[in-house]
Amino acid sequence: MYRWLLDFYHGYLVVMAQGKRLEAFLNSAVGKGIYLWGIRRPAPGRLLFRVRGKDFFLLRSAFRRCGCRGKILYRSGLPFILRRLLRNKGRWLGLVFFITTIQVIASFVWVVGVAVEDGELPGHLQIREELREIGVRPGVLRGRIKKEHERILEELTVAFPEAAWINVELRGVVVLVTMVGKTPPPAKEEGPADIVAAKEGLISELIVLEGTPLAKAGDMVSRGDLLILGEKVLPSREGGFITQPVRAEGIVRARVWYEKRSEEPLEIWRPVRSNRQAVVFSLRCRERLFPFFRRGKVSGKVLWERQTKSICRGRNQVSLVELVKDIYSEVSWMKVRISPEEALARARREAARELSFLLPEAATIKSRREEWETGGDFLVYLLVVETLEDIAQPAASTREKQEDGYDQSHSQGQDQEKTPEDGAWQAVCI
Amino acid sequence: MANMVKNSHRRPKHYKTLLVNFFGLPREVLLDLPRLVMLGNSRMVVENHRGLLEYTEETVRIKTAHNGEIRVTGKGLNLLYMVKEELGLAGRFLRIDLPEGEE
Repeated sequence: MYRWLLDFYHGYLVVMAQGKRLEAFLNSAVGKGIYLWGIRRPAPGRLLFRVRGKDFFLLRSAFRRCGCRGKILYRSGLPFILRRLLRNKGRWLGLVFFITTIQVIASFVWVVGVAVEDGELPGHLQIREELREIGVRPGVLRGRIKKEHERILEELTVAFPEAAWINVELRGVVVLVTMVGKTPPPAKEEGPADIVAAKEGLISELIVLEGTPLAKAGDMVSRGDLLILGEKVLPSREGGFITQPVRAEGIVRARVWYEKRSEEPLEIWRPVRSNRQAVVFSLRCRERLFPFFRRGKVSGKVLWERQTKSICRGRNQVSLVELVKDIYSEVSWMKVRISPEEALARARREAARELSFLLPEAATIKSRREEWETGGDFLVYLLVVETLEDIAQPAASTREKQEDGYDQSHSQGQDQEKTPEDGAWQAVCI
Repeated sequence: MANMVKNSHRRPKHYKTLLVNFFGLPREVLLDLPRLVMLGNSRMVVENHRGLLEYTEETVRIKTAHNGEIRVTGKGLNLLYMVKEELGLAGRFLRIDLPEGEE
């Protein structure tokens, strides 16, 4: 390795010697202290060897003395490569022009990207207009953006007070402005309200923060049943009790069961691809698609697949340019009979998908049970999932609904005499 | 007289041998002997040579001191490098004949 590097650094020649006394030539050359290597005899009367560039002229006398002729076949090494490069001035000029052009092009901002996240912020057009006024627009020097970064941020903050966080990032020739709007806390609803059951379930825990509980742990409740009444019982000055309407608050954890029953057909229509397909390669620049290569032709029903590949991802993080490959495959629909295992997998997948919409995020799955059986051309699948979740849901006070002029001076005894027709009581009558 | 000349010619070599044996000096240096280093049957380095007599892909004859000759027979023989004191040989060696009469 070291020897090879040294030879490359000094430069060497591949020489072919022709003559009868080639051994004598070699002895003579070596006798002069010349280093020869890679010596081969490709044919009788011919000798190929390598010699340092500067030693070639010393071989002349050896050639003459032994009656041989030498011919340089190939020049290799750094000095020769450099000489070849230096000789071609057009190439150097082209290289200098290319580097200068790249440098000049890369010193400007070409794209201004705006990303708005959350909150109520003005539209992209308004933000872009403001950025243009501040001086952030395509064609501005990158150095200027770097230099005036603080000023730009300050002016944007003043222009958009509704933004909680603003960032101006320079990624190559792209300026990316990110804005996050202020998200106001949810307005606290006021006025008296009850807590009702959002779903049918078995109460396992009930924590009352405000109001009067009408259910207890172990109760089975249906959807809409009253759980916490929006009333508070207080002692009155005159003796006795008064009830005061309040906004009921509390946590009602209950065991809820979800049941999904489906029939999955064992015979289904499935697209079968034929060998005919068409491939179209396109280049996407921002929103525009430029097809540049097409292969094959299809007709009838086709299946369309798209594969994309971002070009120069390092400098192209917002994916302005993309290579797109569209594959159109000719298909014919065929009725096929699938195995019960495959039908079960499909049913499971579908059930899981539907369940993901039904289950609240905070729900904890306690158990799941599934049953299936095949009969005829169908697979019957049943999935039962038991969860533990908060089923408390605020609802307008039942009192307010029934009585416009609600009398606040009801005693506790009077409350207990309410009729079952009152919706508030039906919840506990399970 | 002729006998004396013959003796005087032999004496230095004789003394050199004695010197080498007595002091344990390197023989190839004082006695001008070729030194061969072989790596398996595919690589050979010959030191202290006096030039090439013949070089083909089947036979390489190397001249040594005192009109000696090393003959290497093989297949695909080629010289890796060659300098005044040393040469490297590669190929598949089948037979090596060494010079006779050297001590």
